[in-house]
Amino acid sequence: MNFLMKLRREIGRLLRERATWLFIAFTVAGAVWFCLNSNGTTATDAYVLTTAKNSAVLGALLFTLLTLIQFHRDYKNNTDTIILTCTDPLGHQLRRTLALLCAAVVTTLLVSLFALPYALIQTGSYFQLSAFAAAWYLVFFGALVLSILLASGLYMLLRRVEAAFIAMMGLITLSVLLESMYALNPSYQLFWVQTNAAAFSDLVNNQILIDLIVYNRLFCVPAAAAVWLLGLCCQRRYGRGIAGSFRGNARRIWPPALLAAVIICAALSYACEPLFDNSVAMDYGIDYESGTGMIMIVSSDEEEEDMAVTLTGKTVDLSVDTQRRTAAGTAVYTLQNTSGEPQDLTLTMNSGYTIQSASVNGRAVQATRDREEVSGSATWHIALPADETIRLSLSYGGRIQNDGSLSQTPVYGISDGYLWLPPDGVSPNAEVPVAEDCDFSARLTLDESLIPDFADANTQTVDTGDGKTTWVIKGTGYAGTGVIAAEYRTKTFQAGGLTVQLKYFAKQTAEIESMDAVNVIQAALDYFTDTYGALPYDNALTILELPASFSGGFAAGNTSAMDETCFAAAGYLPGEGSTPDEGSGIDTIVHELAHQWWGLATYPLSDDASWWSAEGITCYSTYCFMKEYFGEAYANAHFTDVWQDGWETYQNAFYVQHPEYLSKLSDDDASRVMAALHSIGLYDIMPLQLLEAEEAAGGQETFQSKLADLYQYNLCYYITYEDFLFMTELTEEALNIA
Amino acid sequence: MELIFLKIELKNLHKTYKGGKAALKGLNLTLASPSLIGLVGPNGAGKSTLMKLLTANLLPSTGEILMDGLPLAHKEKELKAGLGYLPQEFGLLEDLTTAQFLDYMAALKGMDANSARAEIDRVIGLTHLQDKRKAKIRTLSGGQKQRVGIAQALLGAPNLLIFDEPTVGLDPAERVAFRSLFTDTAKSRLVILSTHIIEDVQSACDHLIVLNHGEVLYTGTPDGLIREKNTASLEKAYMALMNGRACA
Repeated sequence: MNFLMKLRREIGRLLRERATWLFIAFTVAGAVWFCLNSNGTTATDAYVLTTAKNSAVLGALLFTLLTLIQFHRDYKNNTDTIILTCTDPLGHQLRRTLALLCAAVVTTLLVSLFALPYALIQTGSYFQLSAFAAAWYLVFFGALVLSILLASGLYMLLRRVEAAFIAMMGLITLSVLLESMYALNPSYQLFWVQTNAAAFSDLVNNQILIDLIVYNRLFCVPAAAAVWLLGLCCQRRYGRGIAGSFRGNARRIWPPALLAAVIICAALSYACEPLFDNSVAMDYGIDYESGTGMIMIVSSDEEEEDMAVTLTGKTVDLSVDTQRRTAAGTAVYTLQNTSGEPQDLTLTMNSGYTIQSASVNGRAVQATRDREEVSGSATWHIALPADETIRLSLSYGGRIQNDGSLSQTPVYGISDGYLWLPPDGVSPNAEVPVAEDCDFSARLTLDESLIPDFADANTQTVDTGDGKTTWVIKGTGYAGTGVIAAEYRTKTFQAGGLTVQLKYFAKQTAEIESMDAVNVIQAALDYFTDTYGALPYDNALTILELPASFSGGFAAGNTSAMDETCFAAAGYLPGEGSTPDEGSGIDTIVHELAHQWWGLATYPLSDDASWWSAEGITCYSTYCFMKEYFGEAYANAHFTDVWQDGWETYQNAFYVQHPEYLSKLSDDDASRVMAALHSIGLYDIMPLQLLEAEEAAGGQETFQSKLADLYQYNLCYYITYEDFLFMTELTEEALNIA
Repeated sequence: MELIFLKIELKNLHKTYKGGKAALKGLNLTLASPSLIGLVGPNGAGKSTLMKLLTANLLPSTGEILMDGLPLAHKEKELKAGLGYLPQEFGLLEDLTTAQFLDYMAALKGMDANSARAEIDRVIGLTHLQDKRKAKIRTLSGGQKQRVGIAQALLGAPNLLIFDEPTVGLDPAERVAFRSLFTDTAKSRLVILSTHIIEDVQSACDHLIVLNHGEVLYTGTPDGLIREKNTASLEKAYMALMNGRACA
């Protein structure tokens, strides 16, 4: 009661000061300005998340100043001499900090008075309360809280206002700069000011990204509280220095006990965050070898050939709990062991899952997990007997994790309204050869509102009941599939001789009819079919919409997928006058469609001597269509000019000019540098080389005709650089752009 | 006013600052209520250090301070609950009014709202700040701020009042009034007055402590010092004491 009475007076004192209101006013004005001047990839991103993130940086800066002024002024003016003589200094610093936190609450409420109606107006029917709350109350308010705790803690610790200010500026700058430090791939938990959440979706639930923010705050708050408590423990008393004061203050048990508790909380929160695996940085060069990640598939097949165990059947039953964001299932494997000896079966499974039980031919067996995690997967081992026919049953489940070494933005996850599970998130993958007649079947139970799209699986039947839908897929010759599910609606149309299913998010139902993107898709499919030839499958081509956070697209099987911003050509974003990022989404759509010809129907195979890959020829093909559909000016602006810039960047790159320094980097760093340079080679240099080839071949029409021959001759096969040169009757010199 | 008994004993009290400067050298004193004790001495004598030790803002290097027989380190909470302190240099919360500041200080001293209200009225009356009750502190003159400082020290009728140069900045009439206030307060409390102004001590204090170079030169009544030095005034007696010391 006494503490609350004193706290009330402290809050009253703070809120009666003009300086406090000046800082509150600047913060609110800044937030309003950011609201009116933000941009982003979606309406929710532009008018909610980006605004809150920018405001968080300003707020952190201003509340750092307010905190330091409050603490230092009373010390410097000797006000503390009176105050701290008649009250407990530790309790007073606690009340002073809580009063500042109340000022942060007032600021956030005032900002909300503008930001909420503004977001409601700007995002219209796409408004998501959870996204608004996460952006403004976790990101923005969180940044204010953290800046108060850190600034006051550092001030009490250092007892010098200029040192505390410099330290805080360093921490704020570091948090902001981390967003562009891709090479370091810093943990998302370190972005204490603005978090690294980006590209909130308008069309699906953003819970996966909100979880990212929540777990960031679950680490940052105890970490900042630890700094604050350390400062409190070092609060100078009795004329002593930092160590003497710590000893004096630590005579009361609660400050050091609380300090130990929050340090443990922060450490546990950092170590046990559930969104990413603990894999070490991977060699990006491998992923870029073919431009499609295909080299990994090839090498995998080679490894499997020597194994004595073959998979002949697999049955999976997986149930997804979108409320708890977990999945649990069983998998039964039928294996043939032709060695006549016991074998060690290796299974790879998403690192967020655990195998709860395993049995072989009815007998319980132990499944052991390796410590290492690679690319979001953990490796498990099960001892198989010498029996020829083995029936392995597994019970498994958990919360899906992402590859932390690749990126600190989650792609996979489960949320209410949207989920994406990779193949090893649907079922454990047995690292053995799969028999050509291997029967695969899977039952996937989802909320009834979710419509799944299975990679590499084309048979689906539906069983509905109790608010859940069970989807059954069956196939032969493969043993796993990933799944993306959302509240999808399907628009079916004909293009390029195929039935095309455009699966778009239900929230877009009203807009999809008038969407220009559909017309472009139809025209592109017709163009590629007419130019290169038909695709080699009879069933439907699926075009799948992904959330904005995916940031781009991909093509796999008979699916081309791209994020929701790619459909921005239709102008679905509200408020034409303040449309977020112009982007070039339609380019991505067409690029991913072109991959059906280059990368899926044929496999342009990279080598160590050239930039030849599926990406280069896909970029070139996309350019050709865009030039015809949108005109030369558009194609130059969106393609050739960009490629030329990339080429110049490559030529001027430090490690290109001084490759001898590359060997002085660590393997990881050298790998990341090479990956960045390799990417320019695939996406910019090779397309420029193909433009040279076009000229050397006698013009675009002739060159396209030769590419058609190349496509049709190599349908369902690899295409090497030599194949390309042979078929187009060109030499390497003809492609020289130097 | 209720008589409060308080006894503070300083036993072989030493304070040496970092760098080796000895501010106090083996002080042995007993300070008991009710009394108005004048603490005088030249600059650097150790007066402010002694004040800080008595208010638990500093810890002694050696020796101890006993409060009612117990070490001060064990009675810090009780000390703060019954302490009114006016340091020589102090700042106030400039954006508050006089009444708001006193209300804030009353809360810090643990007074409930009702008793705080009455107490604020009392100390505002004692310090003649009635017309400045609703004035922002930043608008007050130096003397008025000094009175607000005295008022906050008097809040809650503390057992122990320590004033460091309280009459600096006050006009002569105010100085006389506050001397009278300190004398009245000291009838039931222990009041320690550190000052350069010998006149304040002569007219108000019933006990005198003279410090120089961290040592006690004299402790006793002001009249006792006058008699000892056979002078006409306390000021002359004080000068004689200081000169004698210097000559010795």
